[in-house]
Amino acid sequence: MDAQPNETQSPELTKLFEETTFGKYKITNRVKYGACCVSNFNNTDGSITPRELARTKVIAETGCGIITNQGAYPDPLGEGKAYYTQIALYDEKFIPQFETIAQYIHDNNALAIQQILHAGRYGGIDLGYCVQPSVVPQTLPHFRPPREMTKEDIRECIAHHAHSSALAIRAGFDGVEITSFMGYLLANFLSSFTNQRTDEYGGSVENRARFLVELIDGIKQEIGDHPLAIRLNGAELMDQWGGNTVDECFEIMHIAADAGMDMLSLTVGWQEAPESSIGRDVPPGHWNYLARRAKKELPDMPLAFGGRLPDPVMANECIENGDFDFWEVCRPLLADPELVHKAKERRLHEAKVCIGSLNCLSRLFRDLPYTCTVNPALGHEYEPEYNITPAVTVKRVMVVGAGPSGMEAAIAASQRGHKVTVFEKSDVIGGALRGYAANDLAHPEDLEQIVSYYEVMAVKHNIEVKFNIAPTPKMMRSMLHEYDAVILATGAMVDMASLPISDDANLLDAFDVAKGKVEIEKGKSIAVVGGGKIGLTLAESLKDKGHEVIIIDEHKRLGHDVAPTWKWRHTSWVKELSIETVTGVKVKDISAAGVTVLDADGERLVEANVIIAASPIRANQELFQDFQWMVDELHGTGDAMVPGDLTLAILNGYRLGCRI
Amino acid sequence: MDAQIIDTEAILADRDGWQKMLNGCPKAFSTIDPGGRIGIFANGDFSTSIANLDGTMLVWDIAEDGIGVDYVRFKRQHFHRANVDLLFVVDDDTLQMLHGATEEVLIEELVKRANHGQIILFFMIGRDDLEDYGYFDFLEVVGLSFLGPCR
Ligand SMILES: Cc1cc2nc3c(=O)[nH]c(=O)nc-3n(C[C@H](O)[C@H](O)[C@H](O)COP(=O)(O)O)c2cc1C
Ligand code: SF4
Repeated sequence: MDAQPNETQSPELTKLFEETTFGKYKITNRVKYGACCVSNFNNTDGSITPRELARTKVIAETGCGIITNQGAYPDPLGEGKAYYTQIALYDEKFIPQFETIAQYIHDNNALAIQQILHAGRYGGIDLGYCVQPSVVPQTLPHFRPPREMTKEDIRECIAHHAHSSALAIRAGFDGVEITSFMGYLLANFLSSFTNQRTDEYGGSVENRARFLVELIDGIKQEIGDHPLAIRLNGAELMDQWGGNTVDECFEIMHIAADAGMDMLSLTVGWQEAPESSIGRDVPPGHWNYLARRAKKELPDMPLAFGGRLPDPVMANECIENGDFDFWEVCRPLLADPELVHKAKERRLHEAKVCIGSLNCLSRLFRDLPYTCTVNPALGHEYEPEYNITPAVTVKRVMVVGAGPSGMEAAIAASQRGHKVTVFEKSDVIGGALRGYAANDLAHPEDLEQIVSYYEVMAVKHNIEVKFNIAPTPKMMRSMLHEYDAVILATGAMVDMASLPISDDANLLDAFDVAKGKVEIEKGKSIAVVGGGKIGLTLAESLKDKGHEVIIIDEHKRLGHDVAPTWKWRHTSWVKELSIETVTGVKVKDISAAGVTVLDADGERLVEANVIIAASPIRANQELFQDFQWMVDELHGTGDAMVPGDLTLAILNGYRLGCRI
Repeated sequence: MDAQIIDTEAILADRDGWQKMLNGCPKAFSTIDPGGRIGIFANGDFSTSIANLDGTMLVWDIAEDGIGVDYVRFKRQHFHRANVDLLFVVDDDTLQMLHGATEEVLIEELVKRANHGQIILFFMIGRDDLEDYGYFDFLEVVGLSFLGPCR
C-alpha cells in the first residue's frame, strides 16, 4: 500500500489575515510574533551574535504583522538579566545590531516592537542576587537570593527602562513592550506574594501598581506617540501561595489601561506557578476564556493573546468571535517558521505543529541555547550543514523504518533531489511514536500531528513508502545496485533475550502492546518490567483503562530515560493513578506466576497474570553487519544508533538527510 | 462539627515528638549530606505573607548519626539567619500532620499538600549546592518535583 495524497486545503482564515490598524500604523494581518526569542545564542555581555541575527531574520520572515523582538535587559549592572546570554539594551553601543533587526522586520512589512525585560525575582543571573520589592525567597532552585529595592533603586530602574525604550526607538523600532508577567520585576511589584512593602509601593492593589504606572509614564515621556504594549497576567496561577487572584489581575489591567497602555498582551502563569500553563498537559485553547474576559472589560484596548493556542484555525475563530484582536504566537513559530505562510496559503496540513514539549524554554534555564523538538534547524539557520541544499549527485536512497528519524532523513534527502524509497515493516508511518501517541494521557493529538505531517510530506515530496516490508539481507542481495545509499532507521527494541524468562511465562513486548498489536483482557493483573518512558506510558494508559498495574524497575527511581521537562508529569500520573511500583530491584525470574525480584530484603514474587517487558531497551542494529557489504553507503539514524528521545531522533534524521 | 483547634506552639515545641518522628523516617532523608538543614515554619492559615514572617523556625539538622531537632528565632525578612538549605512554610494542619507522620505518610502527604497550597517550599541555597548536598534526590524521594512551566 502506498501513502495516499492529502488533497484537502485548510480553511481560509479571513479574519486572521485581514489588514488592520494599530494606532497610526497599518498592520498586514492579525498575527503578532510573541517575544519568544530569548535564545541563549548571544554573548554574555548582552551583545548580539551572527547566529542570533540569522535567527532574527527567520523570525522577521515568518509573515506576522507585528513582530516583538526578544526581551532585552535595561540596566548596566545586569540585575534585570534572567538568561545566561540575554541581550542588553542600556547603551548606545548596542544600537547598530538593533537597527539591523528593526530593518529585517520592516523589510518584511511588519511592525517592529522591542521588548524590555527586567526579570526581577528571576534576574541577577551573573550577580549572585536578584532584586525584588520585598525579600521573598525562591521557590525554584535556579534563581538567586533576593534583595529588597530601595525607593532610589525604583527611581533608577524606571530611568533605565525609559532610556532603554528610547534606544529601541532610535534603532528604528516602532514601539516598545514591557513585561509585567511571568514573575518578572513588574509582576513582582504587582503581586501580593512578592510585594510586602509598607511604603507607597506596597499594600493595596493601587499601591502595588504604582511602580508600573510610574514606569509607563517614564517610558511614554521618552517614546512620545510610539505605542507601548504591556504583557500582563490574566491569571498568575500563584493565588494558592498568596499571589494575585484573577480578579486582582483584571483590576491591574484597568489601572494599566488608565495609565496609557496602548496594547495589552495577555499571558498566563508565573515561572514558579505550581500549575502548568503552557505544557503538553494543558489542552490548546484552555486559557482563551481569560482573553474573552479581558476583551469584555476593556473593549477598546487592542488585545493580543495566544498562550498554548497553537492552531491558527482556532485563533481565527477567536478573533471572529471578538475574543481578542491579535493572535500572539510564539512556540508554534519556533516549531514551524513557515506556519503563518502555510495558514495563509491554506496548506496547514503541511505545518509542523508545536507539541508543547518545552524543550525550548527548559534549556534556557539550564543556561543552554534553545532547541526545538520538532524543528531541528532552529538556531542553526546560518550553518550550511543544517540547510536543505540541492544534492551534487542525485542518489537512490533506501530508508528502512518510517519512524520519525527515518522520515526526517527521507524528507530532507528528497527535498535535496534524491530519489527516496522508505521500507516500513508495518502498514503505517510513525514507528514507535504511534505507540506513544496511542497511550499518551496528556494530549495525544500533539504526537499524532507529527505522524500526519510525515504522511503529508511523503506524498508532497514523492517519497515512495513500501509498507509491510521488512528488508532482510536476502532481499537486499536481490536488490543489489538498486540503491546508492541505505539509511537504517530501524528503531529500538526490548532486549527480550537478556531477560530471565521461564518457559511458561506470558511475556509481551511493550512496543507491541503500545501499538495495539496485542490486546490485554480486562481484569488481568499486569506487571510492567521497566519504568522508563515506554514502560511508564504503557502502565499509565493501562491503569487508566481499568487494569491493575505494577511497575518493576531496577533503577531506584522511575523515568531514567524521560526528558527532564516531562519526568514530573509521569511521577504525578503514577501517584494520581495509584500505580504500584517496585524499584531498585533485580529481576531474577519471569514466569507464569509473575516476576521474581531481588533486593536487599531477599527474593520475592510479584504476582501478575500478564507481564510486559519494557526494559532493557537496545538499538535494533541487526541489519548493519550484512548491509555494509551490499551497498555503497550505509548510514544509521535515531534509536537504531542510540535509543534516545524524539528530539534526538528528529535532529539526527534531519541532519543525515541534509548531508547524504 | 467545629474545626479542631491546633495548638501550634505546643506542637512546635515538642522536641521529643519531632525527634521520634524524624527517627522514624530514615529513608526519606538518607540522600542528604551531613550538615544539611531543613527549616519548617508554621504560618497559621497563610494569612501572613511570606515576607512578613517572623518567629521561631523548627530546624531538622542532618548529621552523621541521625537527624537532630533545633529551633531558630528570626525576624521579618531575615530568613537567611536561620541558615537552612530548604524552607518549608506550612499551614497549621500540615505542621500537625508532619509531627505525627510515619515515613509513608510523609512521602504521601508532602506532594498532596504542596499541590493544595498548604506547603510552600523555598530554596535557600543555589541549584548546584542543592544537587551536591543531595537535596535533589531527597525531593525526588518525597516526590516534590520543581514546578514552573519548564519544570
Ligand atoms: C524559548 C522561549 C523564549 C521566550 N522568550 C520570551 C521573551 O523574551 N519575552 C517574553 O515576554 N516572553 C517570552 N517567552 C514566552 C512567550 O512569548 C509566550 O508567552 C509563551 O511561550 C506562550 O505562548 P505559546 O504557547 O505561543 O508559546 C518565551 C517563550 C519561549 C518558549
Ligand atoms: S521545543 Fe516543544 S514546546 Fe518548544 S517550540 Fe518546539 S515543540 Fe514547541
